[in-house]
Amino acid sequence: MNDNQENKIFYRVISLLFVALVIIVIYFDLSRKYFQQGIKLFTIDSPLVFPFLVFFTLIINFIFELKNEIKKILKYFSFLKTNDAIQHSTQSIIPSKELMDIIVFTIISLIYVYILPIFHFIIATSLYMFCIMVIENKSDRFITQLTKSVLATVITIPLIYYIFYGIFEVILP
Amino acid sequence: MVILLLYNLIGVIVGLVMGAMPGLTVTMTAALVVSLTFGWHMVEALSFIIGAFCGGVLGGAISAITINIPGTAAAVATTFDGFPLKQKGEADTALGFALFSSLVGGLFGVLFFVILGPIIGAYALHFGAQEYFILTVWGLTLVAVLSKGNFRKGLISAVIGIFIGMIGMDPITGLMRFTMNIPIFSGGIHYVVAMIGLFGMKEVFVQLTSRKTGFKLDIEGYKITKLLPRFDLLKKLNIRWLISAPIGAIIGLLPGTGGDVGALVSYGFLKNVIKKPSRPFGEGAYEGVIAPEVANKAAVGGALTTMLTLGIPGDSVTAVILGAFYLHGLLPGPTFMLTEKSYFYLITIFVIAGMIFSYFIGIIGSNAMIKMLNLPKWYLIAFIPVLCIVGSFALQNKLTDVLFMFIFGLIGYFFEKSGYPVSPMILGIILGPMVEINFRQALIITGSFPSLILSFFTRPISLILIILVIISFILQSKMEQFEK
Repeated sequence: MNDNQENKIFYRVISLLFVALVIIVIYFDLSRKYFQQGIKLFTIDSPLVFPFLVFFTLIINFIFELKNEIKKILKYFSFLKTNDAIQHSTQSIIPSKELMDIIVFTIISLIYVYILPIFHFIIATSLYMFCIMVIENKSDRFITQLTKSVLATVITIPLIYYIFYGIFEVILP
Repeated sequence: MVILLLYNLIGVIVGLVMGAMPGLTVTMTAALVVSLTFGWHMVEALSFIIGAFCGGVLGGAISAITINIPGTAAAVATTFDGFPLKQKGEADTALGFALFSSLVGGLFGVLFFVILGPIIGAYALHFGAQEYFILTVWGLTLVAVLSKGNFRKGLISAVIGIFIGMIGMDPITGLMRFTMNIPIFSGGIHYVVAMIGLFGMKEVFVQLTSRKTGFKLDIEGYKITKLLPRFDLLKKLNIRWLISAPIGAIIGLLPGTGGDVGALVSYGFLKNVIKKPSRPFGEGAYEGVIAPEVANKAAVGGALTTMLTLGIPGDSVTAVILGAFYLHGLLPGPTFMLTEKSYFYLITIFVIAGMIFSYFIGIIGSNAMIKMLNLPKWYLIAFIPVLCIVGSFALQNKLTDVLFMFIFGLIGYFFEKSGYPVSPMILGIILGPMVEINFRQALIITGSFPSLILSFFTRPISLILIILVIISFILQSKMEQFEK
């Protein structure tokens, strides 16, 4: 079992949790409308009939998928117990490097969304683009990284602003 | 008209550049260019979007031949003989043939579209709620193809898409659904925001975690004069390559089978039919470049026919383009040929212009495009999110849309990593509301569930459509096997 398969277990668990969350949201919304508001489920003009069919299809498929995934995870853990897998550990299930990249990127993006109404498009986007480029450019020396990032930002942002706002008249944040 | 053609030309350039870059898919290109056109007049937007679509499909061939990585799925078959030709020092001839055969295939596809569109449109006028419902379900059968071997995961993804499409106000009774009493959900989630997130932002996350740093080019550039069609060589080739055009157009017509399947089927077909190719297939046969390129462009005409006259997208790209048409108030579907006939012919002109512009820009700009392959990853990772942010904000001038776009990007990334295809989700978001409205209208008309089910089989057109859905489902599975 290679790193890729181990990472996939982590991603599969996250995806299953998301699907489960969707099921919970649909369930609570449908039951609130059915029990508290008294809306019938199976009358011909019911607004809940289609959402119920969607819920039913999702839950059936989810159960089969969950069963399938549990089998795979159990198979993986039984593999871990063998001598061949001594170098593997449960820690390798979590792709920490990939996850760190995503977390850093997401945090920068969330900060960007937060500062966008304060600093507006040009300043906020320049800062955002510059930060991403500095972090992602791992092949150059630090000074070169900074120079390239500044140059790329200084050229790109006015160009985007001119094309979107000046030519296509798109309203920017 | 000149201004409209100018928009088309700009669209072609954008599409060619994005299509040529591996990792930047035509679907993503379509999703991003749609965001540019929110405030435009409908006709200008159509011209631009169609131009980008035509350019994007052609752009894939450039990287397929140059670096053996198809820029689009439709260009996969082009690599089989395109790259061996490049290795033999005939990169110019291979790209020249690819561009020329794309033009031939594209124009054939338009002819197919112009002839067949009005015929299908005339039949489609007899459709009722039941038929509309079956049509939308037919569109959803595309999930089987987009699932790429994992139907259950594809179905889960599509159902989640339908759920996302249901958030907000019920289209018939006005009841609020799945908002969890959070105000930002009351207006629903716009499908364009989901499209940009799932195709654009997701790709950023994929590139962010990818270990690839870029592409190494071992070619300095193409000689433009050598990219012009070599009629001396073309005359020597077996004329049977022309059969690729109808193969591509017919395959493009079937929901769920687009240019990628068309190209592979026509390549396989010609491999069996032509006994004496210019070189053995797979070792740089000219026919091996021409056949898939003719077929994948002819498939554009077929896919547009189904999309405009029945409202069924042929693949994920046409699903995004269908969404773009809705956004601009154009409603492809059975009544399209009755209510929007003028737009049908206008779209035809835009497709023809897009194909012709793609050909010439492909020749003139091929060197610039291969330079774009050298753009560093760190720049693209910073540049694409800015386009996604501008696109998602421009839709309704709401920062919450930007936030939703990021969330969809993350969902798309985690889903793709765990084997859930994201294209069915978009299909669910776009087609879900139509499936629901037609299902509930048909239910109200027939009066009960048993009567509704019975009416599917007692109404002649409905029955024919059910048979067609089953046939297309079987064909999709057969073609998927062939593709493998």
